[in-house]
Amino acid sequence: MTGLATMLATGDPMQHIVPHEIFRVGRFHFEPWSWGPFVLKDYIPFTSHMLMVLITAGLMLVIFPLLGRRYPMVPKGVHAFFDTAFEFVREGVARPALRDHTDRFMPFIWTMFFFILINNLLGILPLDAIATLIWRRSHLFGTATAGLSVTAGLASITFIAVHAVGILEQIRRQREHGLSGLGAAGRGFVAYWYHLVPHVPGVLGVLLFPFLFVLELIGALVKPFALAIRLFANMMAGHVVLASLLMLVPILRSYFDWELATVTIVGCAVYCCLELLVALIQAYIFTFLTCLFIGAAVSPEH
Amino acid sequence: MVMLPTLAEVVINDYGLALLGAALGAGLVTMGAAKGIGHLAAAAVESQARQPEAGGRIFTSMIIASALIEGFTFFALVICMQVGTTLLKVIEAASQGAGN
Repeated sequence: MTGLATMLATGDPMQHIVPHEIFRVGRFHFEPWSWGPFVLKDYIPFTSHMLMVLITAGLMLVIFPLLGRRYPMVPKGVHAFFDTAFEFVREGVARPALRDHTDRFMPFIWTMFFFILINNLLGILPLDAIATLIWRRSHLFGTATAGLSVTAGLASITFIAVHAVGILEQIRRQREHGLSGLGAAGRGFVAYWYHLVPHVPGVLGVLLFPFLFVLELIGALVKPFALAIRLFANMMAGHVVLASLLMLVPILRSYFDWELATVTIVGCAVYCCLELLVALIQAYIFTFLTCLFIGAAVSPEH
Repeated sequence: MVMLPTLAEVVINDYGLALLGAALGAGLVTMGAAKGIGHLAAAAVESQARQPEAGGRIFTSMIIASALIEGFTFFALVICMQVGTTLLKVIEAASQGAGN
């Protein structure tokens, strides 16, 4: 048991979080004036986080089309299993925020929820430990959402989605009022930024408009940033705590040999249950806040 | 009477102050978050006791609010970690070069 724990631990708990390079490909620039048409500049690594994202995407691209092929009116079996999650995301998360526009955004919201959830859950499975035991090569897998790059990408998608949907909604409203083409697009674009600020009546509204506009702009940048950091730090903290607990075993080996190792590994297994809860909650929170932001951008309260 | 061994001479420089700041910051952030989420949990449990049929919706709101509070808690924790690891090398280089 001690050998197992020693092998699972590393000297530095951050090594379980940080993406590790699996292989590298060269980055070539087109410079025909140099010694050849393509010149090698540096290397782009293919990291373990990229592998996990590809595995998640592959799983989703295989499972969900198979599920949706003949979706029964009354779900049974595996359809019922996923129907719970689909209905929860649609009725519990999306419909309170996007009342009438729910069906428009459900594919996007479902994809985002299941992408984050499957990435979080694949991090709790000890794929890395199994790969190390079989192929003697460490850090082949990891948790994709425990890297800031992946969560920043997801938050950027939320940012782009929110503002694009808001601008398109304002353009659609301008078209309804009778404008057409480029005029509707221009007025819609300006109207989106004008309607970001809540309407305060009277002279006070005119005076406060610049301050509220700057506040809304800062909020528009900070909200996706907070989304990314929240998901990243929650996933990373769980794995850092696990790695730190396992780190105790080789350090205190001379005092408690197999007792400490057994207790530590059982404790880590119990901690993984808490990490399961955190994985589910974080996927739910990310999806819920995305729905909230899209609902605020598209709602007719402006 | 047992003679205690003398402690090593303690030198306070930027390196130690940076680590002290990072560690104290992490502890303070955890204290603030725990107090806030404790208030939230107390209010949620009390309102569930007053009206048990609204228990599901109260639980949902509690989860959402606690996740939002933990969001900026982890943001501050990430800053403390950066001070403790990445910026520490910068501070160490600066204190070795300029001070001493």
